[in-house]
Amino acid sequence: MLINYPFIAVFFIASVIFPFIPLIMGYLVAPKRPTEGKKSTYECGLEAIGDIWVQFRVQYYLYAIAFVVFDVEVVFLYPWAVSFGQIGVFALIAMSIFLLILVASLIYDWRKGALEWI
Amino acid sequence: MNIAFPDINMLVILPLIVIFGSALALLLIDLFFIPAGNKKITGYLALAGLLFTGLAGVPLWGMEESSFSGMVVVDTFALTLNVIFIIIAAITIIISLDYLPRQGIEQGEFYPLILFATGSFVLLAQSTNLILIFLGIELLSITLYVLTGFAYPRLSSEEAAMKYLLLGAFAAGFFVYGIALIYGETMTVDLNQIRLYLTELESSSTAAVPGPTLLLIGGALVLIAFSFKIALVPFHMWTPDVYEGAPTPVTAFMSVGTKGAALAALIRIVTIALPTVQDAWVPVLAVLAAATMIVGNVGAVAQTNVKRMLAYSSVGHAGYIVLGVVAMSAHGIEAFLFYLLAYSLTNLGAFAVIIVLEQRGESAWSLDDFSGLGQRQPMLAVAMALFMLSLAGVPPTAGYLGKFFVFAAAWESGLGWLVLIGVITSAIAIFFYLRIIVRMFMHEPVRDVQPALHRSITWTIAVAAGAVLLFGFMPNLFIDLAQRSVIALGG
Repeated sequence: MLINYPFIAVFFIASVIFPFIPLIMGYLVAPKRPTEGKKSTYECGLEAIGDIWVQFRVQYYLYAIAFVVFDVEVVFLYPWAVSFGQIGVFALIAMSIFLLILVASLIYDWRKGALEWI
Repeated sequence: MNIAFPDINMLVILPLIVIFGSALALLLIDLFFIPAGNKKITGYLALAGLLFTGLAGVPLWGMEESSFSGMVVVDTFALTLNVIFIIIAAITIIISLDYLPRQGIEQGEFYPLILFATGSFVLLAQSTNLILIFLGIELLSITLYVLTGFAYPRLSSEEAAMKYLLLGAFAAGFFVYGIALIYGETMTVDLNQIRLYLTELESSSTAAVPGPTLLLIGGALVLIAFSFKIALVPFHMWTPDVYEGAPTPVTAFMSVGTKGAALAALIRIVTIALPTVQDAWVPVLAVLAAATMIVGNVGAVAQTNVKRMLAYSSVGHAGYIVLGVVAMSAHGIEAFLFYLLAYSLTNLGAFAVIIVLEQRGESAWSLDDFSGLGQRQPMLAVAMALFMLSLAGVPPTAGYLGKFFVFAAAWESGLGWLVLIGVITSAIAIFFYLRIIVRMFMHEPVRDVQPALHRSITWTIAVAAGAVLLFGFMPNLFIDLAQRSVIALGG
């Protein structure tokens, strides 16, 4: 297995060098006639506005957390539903308890007003 | 397709069901029925939940059974620890009852969060599976992140919560990576299976077959994560800041509960899974313990803030408790259990005294606040002096016996140099514990601190002080229990 590592090393070195070749070629070969328009920042045709660090409401996080909880719940529900025929009543009760716990968290969210967009 | 269920015995997880059930119920009860400003009722209900959890342990007493494919186990070791955890949580709740409204941070969620954290302690004491241990550690961490930041909008509390969260998340990464490597080597996360794998490997070991390298690397990563939770040097950097910033009852809770629970899980891992590779990890843990004792106690000397001093002292005590694990003997585990109980009672008592002296809006944790306490509140000062002596390890207190047992166990296991470091650092520790006593009895009052003595907290301090003395004189009350726990552990 160790014998394969030199090939990876070759690939690695080549992949580092490769992007630099066109840059160096361009630097050496291309004619340079800069104008004001050419030197300005290019951003998909639109003028750059403001900073990239934008503040947004902390409420997004509350929604995100509530979403993740129920997202994961569905992930658990799929295998349960697929194998429901084989696992019977016990699994039904187990899953009901699991869902009840999640419903409790939803009630908590709702009562605390986390679901209302202020 | 046929799906086989593992054998399930619900009795094994009865304490877990009770504590998490009551925490969840309490969260909703508090939300719907307890009016704001009257959240003490939630606290009382939380105490009832703890009582039921304790009662749930009664029918399990003497039982030794593992269930859920060997993921969870119930034995005397776990049940004894459960009793200690319930005592810790109960004292924390009682000392918070008046503290929270006084600080203007009373929220009903505080008590369910304490219950959830205690539930995670119970889970850690009962699990014999790396994934479950990870679950316990995470549950404990997440509740404690919230509790640390509970003194919102006090900035130091926010800062502490943020520091704890960032570093704690990092430590969790180490834990998961460690588990992954261990799984990569052994193809299992079950502690008993790991032991089987290692014994087989040992018996078939020849020069051509390498040792369990991957497992040892994984084990080292897991140890790092545990060291972070227990606050072993050099992974203790967060401790002074977090302990100082967190609300005082939470600091008290963390300083004893987290250490106990994380060490309980660590003991399960090393005694069940890793006894055959002792030579690899015992020296590492021994060096960590030595560094912890030195840094914790020397660091505490320089502190003038009492809360910060107790934070450093709790780092130092973590080192002493780990000695019990390093000894890898029945006596070591016994010593660990006794030390945990003694240290919990003492430290919770000391923090209760700080809470009594703590005023709203000012920190009131400086040494000056203790000056002349002996004149104005002699009983309180005597209790504090007793706690300080117990922390320092002066007879006839429980703290003295705890240190004695731990040192004796380490000595028997041939760790003389570690005992030597322990004794020297204990001598250093006497300096800063005695400084508080000197301040209380031999100095004039500097500031006019009005102690907020309510009946519940006064009784808590009295009971804790009484227990510290009682276990100092009659350790047998607990040692028998500890011995039976060790037998259950197969040590």
